[in-house]
Amino acid sequence: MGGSALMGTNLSTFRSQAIQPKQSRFLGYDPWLLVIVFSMIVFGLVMVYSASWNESWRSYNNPNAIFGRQVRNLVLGLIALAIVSRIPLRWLRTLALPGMVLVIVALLTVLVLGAEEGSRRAFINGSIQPSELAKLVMIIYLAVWMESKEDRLQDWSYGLIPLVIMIGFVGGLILLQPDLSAAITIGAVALVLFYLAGATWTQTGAIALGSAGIGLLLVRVSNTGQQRWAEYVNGLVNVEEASYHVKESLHAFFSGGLLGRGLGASRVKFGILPFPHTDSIFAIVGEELGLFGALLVLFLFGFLIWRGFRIAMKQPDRLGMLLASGLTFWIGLEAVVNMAVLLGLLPFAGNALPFFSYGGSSLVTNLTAIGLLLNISRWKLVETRAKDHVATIGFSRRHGGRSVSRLGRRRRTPKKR
Amino acid sequence: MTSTRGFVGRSVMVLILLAMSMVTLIVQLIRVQFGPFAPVFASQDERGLGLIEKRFADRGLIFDRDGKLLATNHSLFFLEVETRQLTDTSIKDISFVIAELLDLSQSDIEAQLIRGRDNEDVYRIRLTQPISEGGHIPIRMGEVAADIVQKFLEDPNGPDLTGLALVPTQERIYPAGELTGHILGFVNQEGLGFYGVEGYYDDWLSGKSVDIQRKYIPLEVGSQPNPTAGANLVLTIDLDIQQTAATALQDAIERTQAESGQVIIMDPQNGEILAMVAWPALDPANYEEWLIGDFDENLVVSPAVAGQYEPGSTFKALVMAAAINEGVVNPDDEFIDIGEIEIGGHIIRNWDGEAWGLQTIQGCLQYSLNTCLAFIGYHKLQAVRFYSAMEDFGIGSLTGIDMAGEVPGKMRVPGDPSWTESDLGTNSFGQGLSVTPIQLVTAVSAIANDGVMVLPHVVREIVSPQGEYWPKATVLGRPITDETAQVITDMLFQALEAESSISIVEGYKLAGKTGTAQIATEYGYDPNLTVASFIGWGPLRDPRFVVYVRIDKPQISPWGSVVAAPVFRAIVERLVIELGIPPDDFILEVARRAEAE
Repeated sequence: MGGSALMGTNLSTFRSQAIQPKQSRFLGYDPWLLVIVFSMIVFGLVMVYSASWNESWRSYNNPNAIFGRQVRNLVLGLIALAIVSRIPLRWLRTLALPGMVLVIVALLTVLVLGAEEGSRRAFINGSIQPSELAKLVMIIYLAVWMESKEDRLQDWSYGLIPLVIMIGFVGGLILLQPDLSAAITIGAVALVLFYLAGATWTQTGAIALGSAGIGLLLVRVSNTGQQRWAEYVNGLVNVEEASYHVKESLHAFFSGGLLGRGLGASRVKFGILPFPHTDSIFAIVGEELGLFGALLVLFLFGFLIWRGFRIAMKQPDRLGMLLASGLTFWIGLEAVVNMAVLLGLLPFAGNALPFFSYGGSSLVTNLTAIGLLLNISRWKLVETRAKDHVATIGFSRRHGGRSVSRLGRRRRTPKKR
Repeated sequence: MTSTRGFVGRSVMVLILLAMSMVTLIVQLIRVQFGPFAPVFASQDERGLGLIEKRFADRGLIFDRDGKLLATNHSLFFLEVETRQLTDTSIKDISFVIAELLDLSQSDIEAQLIRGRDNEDVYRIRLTQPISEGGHIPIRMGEVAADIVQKFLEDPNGPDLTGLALVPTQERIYPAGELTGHILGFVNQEGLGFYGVEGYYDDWLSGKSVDIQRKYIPLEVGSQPNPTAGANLVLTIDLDIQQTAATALQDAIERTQAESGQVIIMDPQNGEILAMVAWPALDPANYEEWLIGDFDENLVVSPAVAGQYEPGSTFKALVMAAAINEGVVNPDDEFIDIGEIEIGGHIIRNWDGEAWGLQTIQGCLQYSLNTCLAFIGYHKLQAVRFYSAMEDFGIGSLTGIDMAGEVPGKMRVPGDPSWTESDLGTNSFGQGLSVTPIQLVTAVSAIANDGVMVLPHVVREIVSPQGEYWPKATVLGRPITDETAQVITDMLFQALEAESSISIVEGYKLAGKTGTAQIATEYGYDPNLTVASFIGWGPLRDPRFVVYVRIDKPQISPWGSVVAAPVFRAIVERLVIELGIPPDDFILEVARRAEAE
């Protein structure tokens, strides 16, 4: 493609000569990643429809209402994906801090003017959840931050302590909503990123132990946490003492058998299993498509994780590496936690299954993450060792603006900024 | 500094971690399918997925013999709630709307809804209301209120009643109200019939209810069988005659300040009950109080079949019939009454305590002499023949009338450990045993019907979708011969003409026997209170009715001849008109003219 060839030559002036976009690919993206995400989106849409029509009909008198919203979310998500898959990655270095400030403002606002009574997680009747955005922006911010710290990261006062303060602040704001699982997710992703960025074992261990201690404390302090923990421990031993949700979910997997009851033939989605189209959609997959369907979902996520880390490992610069691995780990973690909860392996958490669960904030942020991954996947280390790959920090927005202008004739607006 | 290689190494660590998690998930997926809990899940497969509930059929209607409606149905609605559909607003709106429409406590309904919503094992609840006696009964909503709720349910801008459902049910309505209360019995809220016709014919009337499984899963909803409607009944009761009897009875009870009373009118030839009234009347709309008063023997539902008492003198007609039937006495035989007779160590005296001297057997019956009847029973009939004859009359056993709650009465017979010879003496004049009014009417109808005793019944016709059924007159037996019946009838006719002039109806030949029974209490017979009764039939050339009147505990006079006989006359005077029975003179005149031509 001529466009990408032009793009490649232009960009190469800002990057090491050793790095080149893969010309043979569709727009230079990693083809497998595209295939996996496309499969998951289609699969997810089918499952959302199957799991939601009853709920949708009961709540909105229209069996297609929830499905329609998910399609709208998907369109928004794909637009976001398309945009972020083409922006120059170095923009992130400039945008990370303002993005983080924006997220903190959003988190504070939602605490003050939240839509739901009791728990304040979303704006506008529960349709926009800033905690999902917070996860994405946090990963970008951490990747940029860790890249800029380089070796100093291993220094406690430069690395660990500021990190703990940052995570503690954002995580604390999310905890106040209260959304324990989102806070834990951010903590876990941050920890893994910190480890991937080169933290020492002592540091990693210290954070892991510390956060485990804080987590235990939180579970002890909060009533819901305590109850969920007790149900979890009992349920592991004896399934009949598990929480209602887990019992019904396991029952759904069981009644699915090997090949399932058939697409659309779930029984528990009719008001028996809570949240059939959001948090519990994996159980509906298990019931309708059986062990086969559940393994297919697992396989898709496994493949996604593999491709994501592979992209990260091929990256010439630390930002790409950290970003790709952080985003991949985040999506993988959300999926694994969601499935583990529904299989009774983890205490109840509110993690959605990426690309499957109904939910606008989750779908749009996940697709944005995939957009970034695709963007990163365009760049590959051609030679095994690139000495001068170190990221070019300090490119001003002016340079960025120039680079955008060549992105294509159809996007001229950035020039006017 | 972290190199790419370092990053790769660390990435591999993270990948291994994630891979291990995924392997754990796969293991758990397989374990769920085949692991130790599989049998638990398999056994719970049907759990909560469909509620079984009974759908009642339309209950059969009941008519009197002329087609007047006696029992019908009225639509009501139970209020049920799908608890999984409830939202905070619908809980508020449902409780508000129901409370306003039915004037109930909103907080109570709201509490029920919240309880239902928070209970994981419950999918559907039926709303209840507290009752003053304590406890709760299901709320039933009338059609007008139900229409309003239905409009709200359909109106997207109306109150949010999501989850509320109206479940139709039926309430039994008795247009004749108290008049037929003791015949019909009643139907409870669950649609089960109790007492009387509703109880006896419950299976017929209720039709075939079906168990409907309210499937929770739309995919599994299939067509469910419709309940088969119940059969309609046409009674032998004539509502006009019923009204006549009720009016006469009520007048008598007011006049004599009695406690309770009953009238039974039966056609002796085919056993059809034409009227059956009792006071205090049972209002089927308020049947609950009768359930509470069940222990009081004087306040039973359908006392004609369920209330037993010592019959007293009316019973003498049966004893005399048995004696004549066995040929042990003749009406003209003589008996010298010395005022008392000792049987089995027990002294028996006459009703007035006087000695009546030389009497014929006819006189014994006419003056209702206890001593004479005890003599006949003990010395002439003797135990074996006496009890065998009484059993032939159906005393001590159920008549088999088609009303629920019938009791057999009590008659001790030789061989029972508690029977003594003195029982035979007292039984001979109607004491020491108990009968139900319907037993007495049935037995006496044998005398009226040339010795043939027919099964009393209240249902004339059963009309069901499968067809119609007319119960035929069933002969229970022939306790006495045709001739005996004639003799006893003559004796009672003369007795009535001579003594109970108060019960004579102009133009009609009637036969009858008064009775004044003492009331047995824990401490022996009550010195003041009696059961005054009268049983009579007519017209004698072709008996069309047996009329039984019983007045319990009259205050103005204890005697059956004073208290009950006028009721008999009042009823018969109307009855001959309602049944269209011409006076005897008229028949003779017609016969004479026919002969002349």
